[in-house]
Amino acid sequence: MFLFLLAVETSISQELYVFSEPASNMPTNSLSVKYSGKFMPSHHDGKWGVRNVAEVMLGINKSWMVHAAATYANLYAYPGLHLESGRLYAKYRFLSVDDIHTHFRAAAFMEASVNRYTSFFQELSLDGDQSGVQAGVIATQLLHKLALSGTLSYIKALKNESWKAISNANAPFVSFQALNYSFSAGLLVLPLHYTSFQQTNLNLYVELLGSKALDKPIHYIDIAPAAQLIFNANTKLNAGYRFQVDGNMLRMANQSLFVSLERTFLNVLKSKK
Amino acid sequence: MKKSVCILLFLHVTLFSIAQFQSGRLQASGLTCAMCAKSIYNNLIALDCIDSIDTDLNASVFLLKFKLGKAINPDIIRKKVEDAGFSVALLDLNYLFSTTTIAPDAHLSLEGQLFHFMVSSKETISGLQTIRIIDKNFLTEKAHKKLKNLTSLPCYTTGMTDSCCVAKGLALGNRIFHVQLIKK
Repeated sequence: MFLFLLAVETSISQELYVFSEPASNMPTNSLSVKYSGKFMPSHHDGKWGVRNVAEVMLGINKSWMVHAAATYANLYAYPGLHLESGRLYAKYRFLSVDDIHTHFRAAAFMEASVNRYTSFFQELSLDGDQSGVQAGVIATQLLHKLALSGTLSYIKALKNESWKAISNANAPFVSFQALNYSFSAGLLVLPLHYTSFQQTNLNLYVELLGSKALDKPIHYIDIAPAAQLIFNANTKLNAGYRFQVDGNMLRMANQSLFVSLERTFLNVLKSKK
Repeated sequence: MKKSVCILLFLHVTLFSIAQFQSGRLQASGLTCAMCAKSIYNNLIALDCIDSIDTDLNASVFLLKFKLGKAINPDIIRKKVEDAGFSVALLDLNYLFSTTTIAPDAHLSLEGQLFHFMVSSKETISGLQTIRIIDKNFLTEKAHKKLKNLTSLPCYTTGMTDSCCVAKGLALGNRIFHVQLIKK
């Protein structure tokens, strides 16, 4: 509500969310490279573990964009960092209604991941925890400097051999299917008035991220505030904190810190006309 | 003889260089931030016909200066904005006219592009004039819908020459841009 009131007052917005994807796509022929680090306190020794994500994103055309990512972490194997998983993501924007400083967009996405390790947790995630598939829809509304977005998706963990062993031994415990959802708000705070592309932008976000298992009576709801600086209209520095406000899932961590750095290269495949 | 050739050549070059699109004003829709505007800017500046661009980032406006002698295709300009992920809300083009009489529904070919002038009365124009493209995807959906209700011409719906244009001696099925004269 505070964000909404602030938005009305300053007539502001942004949708380059830190923890979720908007319905909008990257520009055609543009490429982004991104490093993300997720830091979580360990169940075993209380020390903070880290999951590093290296990601490449490509805008194919105004309707399609794709991501490819690999994670390496010290979470499932010790000591040191180990390659954990690979992930592919594709998004199709099927609706776009634009007006001056506003838009409404809707998109569908699919992603799949392959993981080297077996998670002993109930939370389903394709970002390094399980091999699986996910598909969903996203709707995003831009209102001047405020952007609101919602995502609903179905996620299914694929049963590899290790999973089957766990599944048999812990049948009442393990979950394989869930509905994931998010609701995100973003606000362009600075600059108040644009004078050049070189101005540093500050965006503030708050996101609600939830999951409800379909095969077990378990769920979680997280709140994730984040801040984003954009330099030279091509480099994003994100920092966020995610914490659980409700839930009964066994998770690797109920809180985490997140930082990422992303550089976008426009027209990498340009053809001059 | 040499002198007359030079004069003729000079006249030809002068006429050729003045009778063309000089500049444009494009307003994009669907964005607020500079990062989004930057993607549009980069797409537009990559076009051969664009010499330079000034921006008003707060209004999502791009002031285009065209290169002399390069063909201008509004559809290609529009596609560059759409490729960046956004839409054209307004595209005004400044064209240097020799003395020309424009009647309602007049068709003019300017630099190889066909234009249909939607004016209410006959008028004679000359010098630098601004024309606004009012076809679908060159205006916001709301603005286009309003205009669409004011005309029954099939060519306005499709943006292609139709039966109404054939009656005026044009071939069927060619791209035609509908424009209004913008008074200064």
